[in-house]
Amino acid sequence: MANLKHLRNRIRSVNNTRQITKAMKMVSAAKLRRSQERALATRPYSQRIRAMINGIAALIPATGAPPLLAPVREGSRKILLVVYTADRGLCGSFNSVVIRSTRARIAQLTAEGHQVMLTFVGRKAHDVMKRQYGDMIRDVHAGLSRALSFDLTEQQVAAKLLTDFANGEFDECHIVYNAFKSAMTQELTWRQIIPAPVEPLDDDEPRGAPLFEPDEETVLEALLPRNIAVQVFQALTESNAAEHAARMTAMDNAVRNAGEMLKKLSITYNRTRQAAITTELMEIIGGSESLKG
Amino acid sequence: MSIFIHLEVVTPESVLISEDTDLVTAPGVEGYFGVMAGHAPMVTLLKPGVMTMGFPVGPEDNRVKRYVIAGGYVEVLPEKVTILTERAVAREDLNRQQVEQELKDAQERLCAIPSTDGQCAYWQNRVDFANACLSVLNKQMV
Repeated sequence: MANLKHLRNRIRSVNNTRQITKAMKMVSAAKLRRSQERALATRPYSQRIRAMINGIAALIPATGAPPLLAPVREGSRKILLVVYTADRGLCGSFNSVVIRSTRARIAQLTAEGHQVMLTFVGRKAHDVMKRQYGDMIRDVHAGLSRALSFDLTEQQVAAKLLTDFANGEFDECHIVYNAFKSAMTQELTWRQIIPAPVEPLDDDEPRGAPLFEPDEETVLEALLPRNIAVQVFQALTESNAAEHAARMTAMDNAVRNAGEMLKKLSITYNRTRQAAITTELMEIIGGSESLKG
Repeated sequence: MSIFIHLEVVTPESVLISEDTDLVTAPGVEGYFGVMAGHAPMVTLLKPGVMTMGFPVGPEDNRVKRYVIAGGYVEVLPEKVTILTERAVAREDLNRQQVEQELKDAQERLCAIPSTDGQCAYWQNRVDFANACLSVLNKQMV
């Protein structure tokens, strides 16, 4: 039989856990609202700039395209994966979903004969993967989600990507992050950012080639690096909002579990206490009976 | 065809403007230009400067709204103008003290780094932006 002191301690500790997880849930809910606004506000710019590039790319021949847009050659390539996770844990399967998918992608790309490199935005995936993939890792950018500043992200992450690409250190770049869908769901998203993917135009009204000022090449050359910075930043805001949503859900579950556990424990505690009292009573009655006799 | 053209000004932080207007002028890299409904499709780079919306009727027309933008891109379609810019501030929101401080900071940073640095363009952009703000405050610009 579990003894009373042990049960009491256990109840106290579960109660503490419940209070902590409840506080974390509240904090995440407050942060979620702000970062959700940021994520939604970044979307239009990112969509427009991609549409603009798409429109121009459809007009110029693939052979004359700048390297950031040119289709990659066949065969073995150097591929950089930029992996977005949280800086901290306690957010359910948020980080592990990204890590699992990245592992699968690395295995697949390596099997196809490509050379894979990794850059991390956010600390968690790096912590988990550094032992296994240590020699593939190029950069780790942590703490960016605290400020969520476009300028900072551009200077730290995007500028590095662009110089490395210009120096020929990789041929292709993909990003993976959790996109924010709603407070309850996140969607794992892979996107190729270098070279910029060109989708066929889907609008049915055929419009003539627009005028370019100064000319197509100059406009594209200005748009493409900008696009990288925007996509990198958008992934960061999305991932950040998704992280807070995931943490809120995870903490909500934890609060509920702690509540259930507390209920069970207090039932056991009360039963045990009652049993002890009954035994004591029996002993007293038995003692006084034997004295009478 | 409507005489109005839909203007959208989008920054990485938000969609700043999304409304119909009759005239948009913007600072293209090759000079200021105006756009009205039915304009030929066009894609242009912008430099830091002043963007206006609304058709001026008199010399001191309040109907015209002025914004200072920090360069970017514009896509013109017959019924729609989309301006992508890093930063846009309405004239009413400009604060002289703040702008002068910013200009000073940006100029100092620009002097402090070698001209080969990749950061140079960024700070030059900030200087141009602050100068454009000042010119709006001094009403030098139409």
